[in-house]
Amino acid sequence: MTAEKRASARKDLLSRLVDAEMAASIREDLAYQQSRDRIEKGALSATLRHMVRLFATIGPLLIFAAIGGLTMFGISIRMARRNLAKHKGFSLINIAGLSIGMAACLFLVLWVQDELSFDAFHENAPEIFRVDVTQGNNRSAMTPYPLGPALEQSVPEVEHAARVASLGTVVLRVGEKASYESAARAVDPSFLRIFSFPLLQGNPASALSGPHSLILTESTARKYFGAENPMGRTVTLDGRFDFMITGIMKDVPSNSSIRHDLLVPLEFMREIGWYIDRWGSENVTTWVKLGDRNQVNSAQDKISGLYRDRFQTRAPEPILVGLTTINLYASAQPGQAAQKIQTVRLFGGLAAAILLIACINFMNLATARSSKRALEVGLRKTVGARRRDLIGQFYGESLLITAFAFLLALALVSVFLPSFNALTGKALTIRSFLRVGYLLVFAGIAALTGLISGSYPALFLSSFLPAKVLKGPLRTGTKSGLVRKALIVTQFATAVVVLAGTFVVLQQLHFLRSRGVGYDKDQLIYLGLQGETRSGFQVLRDRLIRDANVAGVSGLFQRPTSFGSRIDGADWEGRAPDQNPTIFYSAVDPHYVETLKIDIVEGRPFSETFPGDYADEILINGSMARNVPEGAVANPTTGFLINEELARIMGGGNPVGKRLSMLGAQGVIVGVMKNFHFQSLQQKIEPLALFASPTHVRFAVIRLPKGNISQALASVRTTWERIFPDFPFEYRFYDEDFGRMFQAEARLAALLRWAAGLAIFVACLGLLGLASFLAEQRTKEIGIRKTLGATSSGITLMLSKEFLRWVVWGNLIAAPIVYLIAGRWLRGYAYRISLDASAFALALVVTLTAAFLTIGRQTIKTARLNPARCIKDE
Amino acid sequence: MNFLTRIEEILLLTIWKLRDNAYGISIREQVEKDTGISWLSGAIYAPLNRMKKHGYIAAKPAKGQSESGGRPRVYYILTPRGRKELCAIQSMTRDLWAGVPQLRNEAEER
Repeated sequence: MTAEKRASARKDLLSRLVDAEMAASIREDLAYQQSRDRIEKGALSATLRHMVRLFATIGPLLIFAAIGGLTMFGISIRMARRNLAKHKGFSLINIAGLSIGMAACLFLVLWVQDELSFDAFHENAPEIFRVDVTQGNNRSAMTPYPLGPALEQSVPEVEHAARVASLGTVVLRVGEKASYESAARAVDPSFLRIFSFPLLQGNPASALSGPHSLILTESTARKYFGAENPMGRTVTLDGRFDFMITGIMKDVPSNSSIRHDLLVPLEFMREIGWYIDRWGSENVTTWVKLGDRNQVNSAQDKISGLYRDRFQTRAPEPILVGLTTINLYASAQPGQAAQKIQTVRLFGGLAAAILLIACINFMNLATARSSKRALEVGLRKTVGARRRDLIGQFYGESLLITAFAFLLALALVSVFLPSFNALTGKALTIRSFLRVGYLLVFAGIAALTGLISGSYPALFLSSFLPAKVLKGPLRTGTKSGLVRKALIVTQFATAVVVLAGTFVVLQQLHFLRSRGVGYDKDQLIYLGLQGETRSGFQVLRDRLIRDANVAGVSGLFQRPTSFGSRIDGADWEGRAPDQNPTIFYSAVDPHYVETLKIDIVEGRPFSETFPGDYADEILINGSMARNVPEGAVANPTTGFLINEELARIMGGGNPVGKRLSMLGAQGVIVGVMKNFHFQSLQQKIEPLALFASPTHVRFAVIRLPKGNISQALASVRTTWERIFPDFPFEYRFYDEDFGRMFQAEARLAALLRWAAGLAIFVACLGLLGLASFLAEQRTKEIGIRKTLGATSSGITLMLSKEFLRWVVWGNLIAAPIVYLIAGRWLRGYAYRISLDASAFALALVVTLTAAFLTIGRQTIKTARLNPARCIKDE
Repeated sequence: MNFLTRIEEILLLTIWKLRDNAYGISIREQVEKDTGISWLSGAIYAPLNRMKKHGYIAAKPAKGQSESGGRPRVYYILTPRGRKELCAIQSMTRDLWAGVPQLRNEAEER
């Protein structure tokens, strides 16, 4: 029974591959050979040989059939080509729309791909983690110096630990050449073992073992040494420390969130005054490589235990953050809140949206032509085409178009890649997307596009009954009209989402930019001070204030446009026991408030006439805070300037004159400053306390007078070079820094603007195709209307009304979606616009105008038709 | 002329040689005898099928029963096109060999 069934299945396969006669010949031969084998070699062997023979027979026939199938496909491709050539206009709209959509999609995929590839180049990437600590709502990647070695010793899961401390900006001098290096890091030797930053020269095992050894990246080395071999040469750091170059590192790839140009051993930090044995000194990033990445939780628990042992009260909670998640989920720079993943999701969605619009375009044009194609389908079926053949033909057609569009899109991408790089600040090259993996993904996207957009004609049109469609003009009826309308509404809705979203981003960007920072940031420059220039700050200031080209000079401890240090545990008169705000702080020169023109709300600014204001004693060194030895603090009249935010938190009326103790010092609040931004403008203004201590100034702030800035700068430069001949004069405008803070938003806006433009353009292309088709279909109706007395303008109105109604519907559908997405995006900003109708209104106006311009000519042309022409033939 | 593959050429020639007795089994056995190789069925029937599709050979259903007592056996003959092709091959082979100096198989000589 089963054998019979099997035989019949075999028979079926054979008869499907060859005709009946051939099948009979083959079957006869196989049976003959089997019976001969049975006599010569026995039953079992005969059966086995029969099976082999069967497969060996069917195999080649199958291949033959497959080749035949390909020929069939080739035929449908040929027909598709003819069809495309016949309708050049449609084909052009189709291919243009698709290729633009695909190119936009490819760009966004490249961008997303690049973001996702961040840090993945490290061999050990999955096992590398950063130790972050959380305390209350604060999260930081700054850990104590002794943590790394302690982890290596007492946490068995940790294979290696490496500490990375930033040296800030240093001056590097080689002979006559001197320049600032801002990406200088002090690291443990294990850094080179954990991360895959290969050395081009030098031994990674020993390159950082000497106390004054130094590694440069390739391009930095070239900057100082040109073509000479830098190995073994001596360089001077900050004019005081001589280092020997022991290694040249390959440049850090652009998709690395860890960046550096210069590495020195961590021990160097001790030399420049950091207490690197103290747990209170929190200034390093600690990286660990686990033996097994599944042990994250147990490792984390042990690190937690370690912290609890060290800090009995208020122990921070450590978390291990995976290296590969840092770029997307946590930002590399501690203190920066923005999460890349949001942008990645946004762009992914955008890519899909643009592709969707392009696909809909394609489908729409296909349905629009369906009544014409229906005749073709009918005729083909009459002469013997099966539905299968027609499906093949339509799919062949759409695949051909997408293949064409895909090649065009690739060309567009390679042509516009430089502009895209400029827009996004990425360093993508042709080579970066001509990788097999990418190409497969792209080709997959293209094939998917072809299949999706070809489905409608392939599955719907091929089902037409020949008798019906050949008898007379096809009444597609309301059903297909509905599909078409739904498609075009979807298309416009998608375009409006992108467009209105763009408007929201632009509004927010404009809002952020035009919001004041809280002081006069124009004509303000700042300079980083190192070594000699730091100790010589007073000299510099004394010279500069006598210069008519300088309107004010001050200095401070923190980076002027982004304060980083904060501390909790402050105490003040009338503090509720549960109050423990985290307060940002900085040492400033007494002239800070007047130089920046910060408004004082209550009390007075620091003044040289109140020597008690000075707080030099409370600062031991840069790390401050927990470095303060118990009881070393004395000056009870240390003056504090606080901002309104801190005053608000302290509560209880005018804070001036109240005692405040923080950073281990007792002091008095002398004044309250109006809130101003001391971090990025996206961030909420946090509580801030300033104290006067000119000796801890690390940045000089100079206000130039309005008017001739270049003359003023030249004058400052002359003064600087006279006092510090060994240090290059390099300055930054406050404005530049604030501009840079909006880089992410500005890029997003620029990209969105393009995406929105393309979305609208492609949607309008679809509308154009549809409009010209509908106009053609309705010529007779219009002719009759006109004979009966309709005016051209009346008809124009009638035709436009229908199109514009779709656009309005698209807007209505898009509005809530935009409201949701944009609302979520805006919530990431402490200072944000409130979503109002303006973005939506603007989007409506833009889409309506674009739609009207697109269809206007066509519509008017149709409306002006001479009725005598179009109704005479039937 | 259309260049046929070698096995197609052999098959065409064999069918011609077998005249009225060319059917599946006899064709395969004749080919095996002439070439001295045991051919897998697929290597015979796939080209046979192709040539039939392209109209070089055709089936000539015979009267009577096959040996196994089933359906009538299928005999193959050359179509005019197949015959023309075979003639072309013959004349081309003759032309190719014309004027070729005496050729000896050295391995045989030794």
